[in-house]
Amino acid sequence: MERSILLCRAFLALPAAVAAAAAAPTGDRATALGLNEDNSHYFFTRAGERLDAEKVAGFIDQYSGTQVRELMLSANSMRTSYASEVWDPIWRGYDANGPDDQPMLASTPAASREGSHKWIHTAWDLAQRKIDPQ
Amino acid sequence: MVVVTPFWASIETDMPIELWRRLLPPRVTLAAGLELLIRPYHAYAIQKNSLETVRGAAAAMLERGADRVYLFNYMDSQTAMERAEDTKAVLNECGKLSTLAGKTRRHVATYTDTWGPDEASAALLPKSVGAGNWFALRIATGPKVSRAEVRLGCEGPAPAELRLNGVKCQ
Repeated sequence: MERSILLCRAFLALPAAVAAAAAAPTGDRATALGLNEDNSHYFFTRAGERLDAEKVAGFIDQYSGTQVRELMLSANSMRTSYASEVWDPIWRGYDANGPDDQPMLASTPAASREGSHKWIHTAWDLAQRKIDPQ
Repeated sequence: MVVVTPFWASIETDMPIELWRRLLPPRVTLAAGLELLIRPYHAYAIQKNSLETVRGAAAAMLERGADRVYLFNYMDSQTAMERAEDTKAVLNECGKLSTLAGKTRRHVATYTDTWGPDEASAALLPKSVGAGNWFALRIATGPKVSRAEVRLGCEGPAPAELRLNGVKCQ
């Protein structure tokens, strides 16, 4: 199982390998599943957890041994959910000690502020600790 | 990879996968996108797919030539199916016809939630049918099954006769 997990992680880290596999499906793997993870879900659902590099990388382990062949990880919308040096990360302007209704979230509907705050805080926290979820 | 998919409001169970296959070069992986939600028309209450409806849509798309079933918003919590055990089953069954074979599935008439400029929006349902008239629903159902059950929700009198592939239902 451990070997399978490691292979799975290495596979997903190599886009060329994914492309090659997709171009030449064989045998019982001729059809299978793709699966998306959006740019906010991971962060707001893990809010309050103490995440480390192993735990973050372990996200994909749950798909080991299933029919999932490709995980599509969304890295951004208008802002990135990682510490981009080109685009604005979602925590630009964020006050880590501020409340849900801080200025940065003023344009967010009130009902969505708590979830957005969790998303931003978790992503910000990972970036502060140099843990790259991408 | 090209993913043919609705926007978000509902899974679309009648996407013309075979036409996309003919349009795309063989080297392009063709994926059929299955949304988390399912409804027959836009004003219908928001609801999520069940294991049986995902099986049905996946079987139909694979039968029509999809190289891949692309699950959209089937995440591991919250934005997810109602039951974690259903998600687990989907991840282990719905990518191949061989692992769908023999399992109960549902094929639901849904609608197209996105359309282009000057293109009419369309939904098969709801449908008003007067006395003495009839209408037909074409639903892609994937590989042939030995036994099927038809469920039709009606307001007013039930239809006098119901046929499946031209055969009168018992």
